[in-house]
Amino acid sequence: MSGSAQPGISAEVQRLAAELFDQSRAASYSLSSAEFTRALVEVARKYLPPEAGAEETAELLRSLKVEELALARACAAGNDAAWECFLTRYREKLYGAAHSIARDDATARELADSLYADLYGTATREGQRVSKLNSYMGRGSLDGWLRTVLAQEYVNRYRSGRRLVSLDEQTEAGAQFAAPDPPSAPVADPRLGSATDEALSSLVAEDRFIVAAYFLDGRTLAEIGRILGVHESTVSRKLDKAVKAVRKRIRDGLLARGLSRRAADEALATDVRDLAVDVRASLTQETAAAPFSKGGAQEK
Amino acid sequence: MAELPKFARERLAQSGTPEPHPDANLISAFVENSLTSRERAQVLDHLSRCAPCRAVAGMALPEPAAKPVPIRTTEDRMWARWTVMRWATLAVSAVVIAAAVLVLRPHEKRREVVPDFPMNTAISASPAKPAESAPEAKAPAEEKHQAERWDRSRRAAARPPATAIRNEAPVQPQLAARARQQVVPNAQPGNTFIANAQQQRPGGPYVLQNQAQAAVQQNQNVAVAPSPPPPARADLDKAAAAKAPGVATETVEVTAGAAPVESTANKQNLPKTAMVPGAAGGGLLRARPVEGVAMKDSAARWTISAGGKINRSFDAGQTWAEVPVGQGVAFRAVSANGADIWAGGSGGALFHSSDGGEHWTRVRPSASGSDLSADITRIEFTDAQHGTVLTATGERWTTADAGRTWTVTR
Repeated sequence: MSGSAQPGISAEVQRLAAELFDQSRAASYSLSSAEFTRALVEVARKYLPPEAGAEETAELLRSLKVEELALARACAAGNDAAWECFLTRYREKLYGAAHSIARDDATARELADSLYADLYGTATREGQRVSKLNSYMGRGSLDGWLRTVLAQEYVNRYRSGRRLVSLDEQTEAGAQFAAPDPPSAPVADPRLGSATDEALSSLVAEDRFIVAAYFLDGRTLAEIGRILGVHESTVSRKLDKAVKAVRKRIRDGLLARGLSRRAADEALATDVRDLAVDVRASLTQETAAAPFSKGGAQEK
Repeated sequence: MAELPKFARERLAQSGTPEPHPDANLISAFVENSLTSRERAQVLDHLSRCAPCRAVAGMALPEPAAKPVPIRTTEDRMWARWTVMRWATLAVSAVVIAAAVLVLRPHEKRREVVPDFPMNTAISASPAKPAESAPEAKAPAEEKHQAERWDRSRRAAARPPATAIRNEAPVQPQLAARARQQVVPNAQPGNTFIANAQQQRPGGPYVLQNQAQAAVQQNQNVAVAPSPPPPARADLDKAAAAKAPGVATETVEVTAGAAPVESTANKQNLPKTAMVPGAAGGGLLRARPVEGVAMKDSAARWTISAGGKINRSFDAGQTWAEVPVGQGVAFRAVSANGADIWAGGSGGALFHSSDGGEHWTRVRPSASGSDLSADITRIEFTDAQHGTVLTATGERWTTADAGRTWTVTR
């Protein structure tokens, strides 16, 4: 998007640039007003729709962490005073966050060192140093952004290398990831699958997030509450309500698809995999041959 | 809690990972509640379908132990318990006195006593106005009146005037000294952080903080509204005659800046409604007790809008009105203990109101030769005296004397 395509945004940025420049103390990092204004324009173009008006633009700009944005851009430009400030404020936090994410010293140090190098800008493009700090847009705090970048890097590494890591090591490392890709669910009746999909799609985003975080990711109610910024009891209430709604919609969907009430209730009460396990166990006992095989998903 | 069937979990997990993923800026801003409503909805929808991004969001949260909050020692808890008992006793006394006054007045024409309406000041959470001169009481309840006036005067003397404060000496040195001992981290014995609290109380820090807030709120359920001028005797008679079951209301103006013009919905999906005219004919409604009935539902609520404005509600969140404070400041945090409100935002802007938001004072914390200038991201006041302000740069500013003096840790 060019400036001429968003005259309202550019005009509002120019109007607020001086005020925000003073707030940011960018001058103390030898960051010029023009460079700071360029950063503001970049943020506005990235997060505002083309038709955004002056009020929306002003609201976004005033919500930015301008001081941290100026610091990040000054660091990316190679300003020594800015780097000194950055190191004083964030170096320890960076390594601390890496340790809390990776849970072991070696991985944490590797993670933090890798990010630190990216932040400093060891890579160059067309003779210009490329710093990851140019990606910071001031929407949240700089240390929050650093934690998020670390987390993304850790997730990427874990996901790419998890085949080499045993389940026990993952558990010991404290990894709390998303549930691994589950095996395809052996749905006995396709109507159950479609009714379930329909019920899940009716959930609002927040309820879906809570249900997924609780049942798939294994997060506690308190953790979910912290992510959403609500109280644990609110999460508990929403979760219970959402699950009951899903169960009811599944049941209603099954009834609408021709199942009897009894069959619908049985479908909700019984997991198809449990049925398969029971059958296998029954067969095994009858033949008295191979020992009972235990485990997760059983194939029919 | 209801269980989600396994087949439903598997279908939920198979919903696929939507593209594109929000960048680190959006995820960190989401976790810090810094997004607009539209952006938050978009990110939340993505997170509800994308397990890796949910994992990132979870890891992007700061560790709870990284933000220790000084908790109350046994001494503080006892002090708080005594405070609750004192307020409860005053409230009960006020009800009894008011009932006696209303019942006995028709039979005692010579009675000159029209004391300060005891319920207002007795259950007020704000600094008490200077006790107005009242006719000398001749009733048997004179001792109770005197005790209440003494208490009001003492509290009025204890509270500082609403002016900018910068490292002034505490008015109550004993209380401040004791409080400072409890607040300065790792400096005094007996100071316990949240880590110790975790050992003592289940639920972790998140639950503990809300327990503290709930305890304060419970206290404030008895003392809820900022203290307005007491009603005239005619109003009392009218109220008594009408046997109003609840409360009388009146329209008042917010004196901090221009009068608010409309109610605005905050980011928490509150309905965006215009101000209900109500009995008072519009504008702000502030409930005021008439017969000493605890007005739990009329306690003011506070929030920060997506645009960084302070919003207040007097009707349990049904309608909101912007409180114009701090021109040009993008607020990010607000803490309310009854009528004692703290709000902070960009550039270290910190404002305090001790009368429920009617008047505000800019507070400029200063300690160890430095001023609070970073963006304020969180404010936690467990009571009117003890509070903590956290900044985006990781600074923790604490006070134990309602903001007169501060200590900072980085």
